[in-house]
Amino acid sequence: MMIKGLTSIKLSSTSTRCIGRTFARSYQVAQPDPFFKTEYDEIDNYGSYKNTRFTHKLPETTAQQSPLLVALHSRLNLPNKYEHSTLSQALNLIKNEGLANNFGLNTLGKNLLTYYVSEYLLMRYPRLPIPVFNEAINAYMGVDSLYEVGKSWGIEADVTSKLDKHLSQENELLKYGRLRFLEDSEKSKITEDGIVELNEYESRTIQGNKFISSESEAYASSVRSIIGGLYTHCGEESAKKFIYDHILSRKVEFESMFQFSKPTRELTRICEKLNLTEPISVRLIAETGRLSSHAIYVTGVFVGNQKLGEGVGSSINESKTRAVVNSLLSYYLYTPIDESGNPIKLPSDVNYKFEGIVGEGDVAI
Amino acid sequence: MMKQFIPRNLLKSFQRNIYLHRGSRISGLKKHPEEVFTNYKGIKYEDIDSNTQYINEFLTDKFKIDNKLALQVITHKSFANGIKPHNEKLVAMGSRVLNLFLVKHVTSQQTTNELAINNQNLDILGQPFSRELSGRLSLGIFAKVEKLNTIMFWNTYEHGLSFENSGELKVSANLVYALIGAINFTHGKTVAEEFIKEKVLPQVEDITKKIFDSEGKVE
Repeated sequence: MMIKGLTSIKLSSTSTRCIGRTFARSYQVAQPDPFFKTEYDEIDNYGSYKNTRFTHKLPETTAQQSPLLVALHSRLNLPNKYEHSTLSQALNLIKNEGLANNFGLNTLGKNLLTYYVSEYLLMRYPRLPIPVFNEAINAYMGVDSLYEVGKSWGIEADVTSKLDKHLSQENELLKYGRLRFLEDSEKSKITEDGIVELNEYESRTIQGNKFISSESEAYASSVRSIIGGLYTHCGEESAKKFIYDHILSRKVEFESMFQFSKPTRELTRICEKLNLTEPISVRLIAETGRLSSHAIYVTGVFVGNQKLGEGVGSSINESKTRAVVNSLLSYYLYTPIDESGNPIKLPSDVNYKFEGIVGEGDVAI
Repeated sequence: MMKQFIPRNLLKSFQRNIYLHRGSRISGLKKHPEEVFTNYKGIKYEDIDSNTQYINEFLTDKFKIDNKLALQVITHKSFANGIKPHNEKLVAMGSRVLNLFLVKHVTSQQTTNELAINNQNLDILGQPFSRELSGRLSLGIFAKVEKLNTIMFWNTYEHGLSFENSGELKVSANLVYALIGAINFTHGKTVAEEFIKEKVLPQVEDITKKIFDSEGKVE
């Protein structure tokens, strides 16, 4: 491919042969999803885009009559500006009914969540290795976590078919306050205990013995969408506060996410990265009961006269390894504080002043 | 009772000789730092103005960043096995700032779509054009056009390949993310968004449009 006006840059549209190897183009430009039947005037006229698959929105007056929706609105303490119809849209994942679903709200909420969670982690734990950083992001805003959040908010899933609703004379407005992700044909499927039939989405998410269920994804999507809806009606500050109150307030154990295969080598490489010129030494600090059945050894890891960490173990080797691992943990889990001992400000805070450190990245072991 | 030990080698210093190898890589031999810390164009990794000149020239005073941070922006984790500060965390920050800014930017344009929520057209989200605005292709080309990637510290198994196949496209795009991330770290989110709006977006919109205009569709 040759981009007009940018004559110096050539991107091969076909494969290239070099030194006996074939290189296929790896970059795939995003393609439109024909399902949405999107129309627009000009490709860069953002306001003109319209997904014609969706024909209408739930009127606000109708949404306000749904008891479940009103209850959820109050339970989440959403501002009055937050329309009930948007909340209902956030709970709708159905694509084929013509009613606007939560696709856009979900994308918006996901971007807000990703930014604020990443910002928090990058500033408060600047030295987290990238695999642990990704795991921490997952712990805060992964599908399983958001599913739990959605459940704790009391969001109900709409699992009864139209026929069941008719037979039980259920008020039609109730469904607008429920999480709608199953088509009618899926609701009436016969299930057997111990047997799970995966749908197309679930099959794609299999990893080992686990998969992400449509229900989990739907709950996660609704949580993201509610955050997106909050942004559209009340602005970014409200969305940020909501994320801090509901997502980042949850306690995540970072220590349990670490697994070191070669701790001593890793520590050596980190010391090299930090320009610590003196060699690392692991020294026995104290011991008791060497000849007893319950000996205890205390070992320290030093660079010159600076102690990096200490470990206690029932054998010298165990205490050495624990000392090295503790040194690594105290390095990776470092949290900067400001002059008065408080957590440092984040880039999105008012009157931000950079006081922390920028993570220098992982070393290859 | 706990016994106290005096470390044996506390006061004793020792010396060892290590052979530092130059030339092609041989397993088990330590490479000479001069070779390790030099990029494939022969430019030495140093905290000097000439290495970061393209970054500094691109940033006006309003967006200026520390020279050490600028050096981190142009250093990829592939360089010297990550022993020097590299831009992995800056990329993580920058890509998120950019994505969030673009999502807000594209949804806030004036619209007649009756399904818009509070005058924000969410139908643009997930569309190829809006996704490619923060894509590697657009940003990689942007870095090249603005000469930001003229000096980068990175490694690949074959520098002679094309812009895309050598990995330069991806590393260049990461450089742009890292630059935005560095501004976010230094000046905060508001200034980082101003930087995107003033210095990145107009060019990137043009580039993305050209990508989509070329033969109607990108292969």
